[in-house]
Amino acid sequence: MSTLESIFWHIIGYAAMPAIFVFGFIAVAAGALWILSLGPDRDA
Amino acid sequence: MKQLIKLFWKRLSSPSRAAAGLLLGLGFTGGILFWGAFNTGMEATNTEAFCSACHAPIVAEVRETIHYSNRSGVRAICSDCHVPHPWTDKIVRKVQASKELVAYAMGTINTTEKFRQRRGYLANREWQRMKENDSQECRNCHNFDYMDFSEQGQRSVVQHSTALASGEKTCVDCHKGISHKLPDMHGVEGW
Repeated sequence: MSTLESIFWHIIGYAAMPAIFVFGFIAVAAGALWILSLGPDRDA
Repeated sequence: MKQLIKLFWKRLSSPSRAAAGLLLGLGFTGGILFWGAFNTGMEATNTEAFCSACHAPIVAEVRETIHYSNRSGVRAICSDCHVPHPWTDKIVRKVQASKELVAYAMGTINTTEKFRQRRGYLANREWQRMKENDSQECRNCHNFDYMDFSEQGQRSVVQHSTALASGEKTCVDCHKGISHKLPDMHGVEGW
C-alpha cells in the first residue's frame, strides 16, 4: 500500500469512529422520541 | 428533509414530560441495542462464511494447515490473522475493506482463473500490510517474550534471537505461506 493510500484510509477510518457514535446517538434519540410520542408526551 | 431535522431538533431541545429515569432508561437501552447490533454486524464480517464468499479457494486451503487443524485444539480463522484485534485498528481495516466491496461488485476474483491470476498481487499487499504493522496479528497469539528457544530448531533460534529480537525483521518476512499455498514468488525479497 502506498503512503498516500495509507494516509487516505487512516483519515477515513478514524473519521468513521466519531461518525458511528454520532449516528448511533441520532438513531437512539429518534427511536426514543418515537417511543415517547406514543404516550402522553406527544405534545411536548 | 430540512423540516424533519428542525422537528427532530425541536423535540430534542424541548423538555419532556416523561420522568428522567424513563429518559435515561431509553437512552441506556437504546445505546446497548445500537452497540450490540453494530458489533454483531461487524463480527458477521469476520466469519469464515463471509470471507468464503469471495476467497473460497484460500479458505479451503487453510483447513489443511496447522493453524486450523492441530493436536492442541486451537484454531485461527481468517479474521484472526487478517483483521486487527484492537477496536480502532479494526475499524480502520473495515473501512479500508469497503474498497473490496467494489471489487466484489465488479467480479474481480469471481472465477478460479481470475483469482489465480490475482493471487500474487493480493498476497503481496497482505505481506506488505503485515510488515508495516510489525505482524500485529501474529503477535496476538505469538509473543516473542514467551518463546522458549530450547524448544525451537537451531535455524529458528538463530533467526529469532537476532533478526526478530532486534526488530530488523518481522514474522511475515520469513513466515510466508504458512496457512496458504504460495503464489508465484518471483521477485519477492528473500525467495
